[in-house]
Amino acid sequence: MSINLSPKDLSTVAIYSVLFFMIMLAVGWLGVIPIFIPLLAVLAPLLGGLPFMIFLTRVDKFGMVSLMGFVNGLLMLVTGMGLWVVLTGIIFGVLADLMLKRVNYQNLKKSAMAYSVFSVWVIGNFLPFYLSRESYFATLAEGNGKEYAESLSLLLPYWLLPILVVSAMLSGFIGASIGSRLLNKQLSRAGVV
Amino acid sequence: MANISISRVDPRSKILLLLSISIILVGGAGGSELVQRAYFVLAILPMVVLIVEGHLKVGFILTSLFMLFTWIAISVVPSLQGDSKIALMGMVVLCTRILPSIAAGYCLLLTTSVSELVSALYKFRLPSPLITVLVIIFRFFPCVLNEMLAIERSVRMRGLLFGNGSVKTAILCRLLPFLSNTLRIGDELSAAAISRGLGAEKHRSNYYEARFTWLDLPILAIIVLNVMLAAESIWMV
Repeated sequence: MSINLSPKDLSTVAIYSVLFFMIMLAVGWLGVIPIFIPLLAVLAPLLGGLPFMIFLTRVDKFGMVSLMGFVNGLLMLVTGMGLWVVLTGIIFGVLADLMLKRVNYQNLKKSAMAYSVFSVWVIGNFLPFYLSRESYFATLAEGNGKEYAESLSLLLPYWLLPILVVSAMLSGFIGASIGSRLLNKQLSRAGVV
Repeated sequence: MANISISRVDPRSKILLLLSISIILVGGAGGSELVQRAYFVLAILPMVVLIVEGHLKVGFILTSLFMLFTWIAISVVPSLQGDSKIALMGMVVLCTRILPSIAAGYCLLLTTSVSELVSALYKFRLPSPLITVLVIIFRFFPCVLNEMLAIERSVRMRGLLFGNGSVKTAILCRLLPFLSNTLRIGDELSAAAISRGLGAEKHRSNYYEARFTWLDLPILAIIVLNVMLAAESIWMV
């Protein structure tokens, strides 16, 4: 897979990863307020739709979207979101890539669906709460104070996880649709794309 | 922008520092006194590196911010209760947990020249496509930040700060130039990267070879210590 990517493709992935990541950073600042933490799963895919759609106009081979997912996961790891993001980044990146490969990277509607699958990577940010709950909760309580840990555990009960997944996919689809509409109308007029 | 001089600390140490801070520190520190002290030293490390590298002003500002909030965390917080405690905790968490990782990121991206970073990544023996992508990200990130500042200034100069009352104009007048500029810069960057042989199939030789100096020894020792302590606490829980 990686042998087929030319340097130009790799640099395309790099550039759009940076743009995508910066949006994630901006959205992530909202997470300082504990109330907004579940909302991150909705906002991040929504706003990330536009750069991803522009990215897709330059994708024509397998591996670019997967690599994008992986690099994005790595960048999230570096900002402190835990190790699970890398995994969800890779998995849903490859899944989205496979979906796109079937339509040969041309179909617009399928692209939106592929992006909604891709968007499930945000769940990786929340996985530490669910998968190693007791130990994570304990370290949080020690480090950040008991009320913070308690309010977080109230915000993210177990039954919220499937809701988060579904809302991530939904907002991904909406974000992609808005992004492609913006692409066609505004950006092509301005000569950006 | 990244400076051009050779840094005194090996870039590999900076990468390891960033990784260890992100994985260990942001999750939360607990455990015995020794572990807390070790985490504290790890957190202060990037700011020390910044000072060593010669970025005195930023280093001192970050260090004093961190010290201030650690002091607040230790002495002031236990005496407050309830809502005011939560509000203050937000600020404290921000400055004690996220600040070190921001400092480590700054230390890596903005004090290391790209050729050093390339050399360090090659020494890690990562697969070549991944190195290409990471290097272009390193190079591109400061450009994007500069672009955002420049566009904000030009928007202000044209008096379009709030888009003449329309939110759509306000967003678009920043977004469109930003996108077209960054994509153009990105294309130029990728051409430059290709011409520097970043995607080559053969092993690439580097002008600057990453070498460990004696300054790296305490840094690496602290990192290793913290990693071992964190691993131990995970296995015990």
